[in-house]
Amino acid sequence: MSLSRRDFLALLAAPASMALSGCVTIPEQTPYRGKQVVIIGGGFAGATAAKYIKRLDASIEVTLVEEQLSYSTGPANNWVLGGLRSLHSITFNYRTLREKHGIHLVPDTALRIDPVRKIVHLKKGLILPYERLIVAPGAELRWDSIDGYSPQVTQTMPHAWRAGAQINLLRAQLLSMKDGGTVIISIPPPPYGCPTAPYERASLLAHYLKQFKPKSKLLIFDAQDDFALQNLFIEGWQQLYGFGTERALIERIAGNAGGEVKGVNVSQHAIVTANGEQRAEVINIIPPQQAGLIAREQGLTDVTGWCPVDPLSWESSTVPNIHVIGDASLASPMPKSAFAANSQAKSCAMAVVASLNARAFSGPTWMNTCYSLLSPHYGISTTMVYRYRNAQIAQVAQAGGQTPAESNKQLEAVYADSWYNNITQEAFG
Amino acid sequence: MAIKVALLGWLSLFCGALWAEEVANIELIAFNCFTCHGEDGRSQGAAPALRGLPGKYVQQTLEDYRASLRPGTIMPRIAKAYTSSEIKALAEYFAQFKQ
Ligand SMILES: Cc1cc2nc3c(=O)[nH]c(=O)nc-3n(C[C@H](O)[C@H](O)[C@H](O)COP(=O)(O)OP(=O)(O)OC[C@H]3O[C@@H](n4cnc5c(N)ncnc54)[C@H](O)[C@@H]3O)c2cc1C
Ligand code: HEC
Repeated sequence: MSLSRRDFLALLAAPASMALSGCVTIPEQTPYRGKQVVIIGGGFAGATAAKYIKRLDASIEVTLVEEQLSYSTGPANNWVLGGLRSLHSITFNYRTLREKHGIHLVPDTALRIDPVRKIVHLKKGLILPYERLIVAPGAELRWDSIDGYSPQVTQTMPHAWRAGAQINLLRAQLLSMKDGGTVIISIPPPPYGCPTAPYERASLLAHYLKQFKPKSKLLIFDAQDDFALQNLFIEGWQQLYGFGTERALIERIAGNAGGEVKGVNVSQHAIVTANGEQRAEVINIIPPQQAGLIAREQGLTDVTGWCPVDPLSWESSTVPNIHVIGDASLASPMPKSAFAANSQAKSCAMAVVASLNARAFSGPTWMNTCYSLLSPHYGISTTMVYRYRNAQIAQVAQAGGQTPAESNKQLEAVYADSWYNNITQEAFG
Repeated sequence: MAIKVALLGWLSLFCGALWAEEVANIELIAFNCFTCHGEDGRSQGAAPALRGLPGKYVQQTLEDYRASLRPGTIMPRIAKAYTSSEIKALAEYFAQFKQ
């Protein structure tokens, strides 16, 4: 038989080196207000955390505040743009979380947090008390860094960065463009999730053009000099889209060649760079990003615009009893991704459940994988395992890395699809 | 439940014995495997289900991935992150689920 809980705690209380090596007992909060967890944001981070808290301790009351009734995922968003999937197939609702997992769903916007009274104020007037609060609002687009680009302009130059209507708009523009037209994708400086997502998008738009509008051209205007998995993307683009030849479907203007888009000229339907203006039939602007509004307004962010945390528990470095996970958090060297958000959610859930039960939690580890499709039958990936070392997130040196050159790309495309099914089932199923 | 109890055993064993070393939480590693292999090892796609696979098989397979003796699109890159004792514990974790 294994140890009783008391033995376990006694064991944990012993060595003094424990705090140093990451095994901490988080004391129960006073005044005690029951085991109530409130989660703001039902994306990959928030929804997965809600499910895992319930899984680990069904007696905890979990309330998930999400302002949208349905959620279209970032991953597979490019697959819809490329015609590989329907928007419907990447859109999820919260019914299963409520009905099967006993999570309280509140379809509302969290407006304000009072960390002293430990309550959250919602837009429709409801006030939610919490013992622990998990803030997972994701990333938001910034409107202050591309001159002339604004929410109104997205109606003609879509960002298509999530949001179903924007995806439909970009896809419709692509479908109605004449053969021989030019498509521009503007890629911002990092960070954004996934680091490979804009390049996957470029690939799958090229896949569409190759089939239906082969005289067209796709121009990538990139704020960055180099990008994630660059060698694998270039190799794939050479094989699939004639990259680097006269008949290339994809051309890339790197940051050091003036690729950064500084503004847009709406009346000319053009982008503006250091080299001047470039017109195009279809313009997709992916703007720079920052942590969601609620995180910024509550003092959870630092100068970077993202939220510093202690990765042992994902508790905010600035406000106690509030945990920040997912895209909004500062989790370097983990990238911003659905996989990372899922991984952070699971370790945060464990830490929160341990804390609410006055138990110890130690030894968190995390994982990330970003799959990218260059065509429906050509997949690549980058993966990494992380451990908690010296109170920080550390990459495991001998592990991870990108798809080896000789790997079977067709099989990776199949596994990318499989991953998508599993991670969305974890969050919403 | 059996799994939770077993894991608690594992954890406490580690906390007592090997504390100087960094000790990973086995259940949490397994949760991360779920992201590709499905919740509780029930895969919803082409990635193999891990649920109920014989512990010895999973252990040997992971050791082979780790030593680059077994080909795979991604597992050789992932398995290299774990120690032999973590691999053994992970194999036991997945073996505890009924098929
Ligand atoms: C085109 C594209 C492709 C991508 N491809 C991949 C990929 O292949 N692999 C991968 O791993 N990742 C990928 N990503 C990244 C991935 O989508 C994000 O990293 C992930 O969604 C982050 O999860 P999150 O829960 O932190 O935030 P989000 O998914 O953004 O969820 C945040 C949620 O919080 C809600 N919310 C915000 N504020 C409030 C508030 N105040 N009150 C109530 N609700 C609120 C929002 O409505 C939203 O539903 C891609 C992203 C994009 C855009
Ligand atoms: C990024 C996705 C991903 C993650 C994360 C992942 N796996 Fe895998 N796993 C795969 C794929 C894909 C295969 C098929 C072999 C290959 O292509 O590498 C596989 C194969 C396996 C197999 C062989 C199964 C069989 O029947 O032959 C085992 C065992 C396994 N994984 C265990 C694990 C464990 C344990 C973890 C967590 C530490 C894990 N995997 C994490 C994707 C993943």
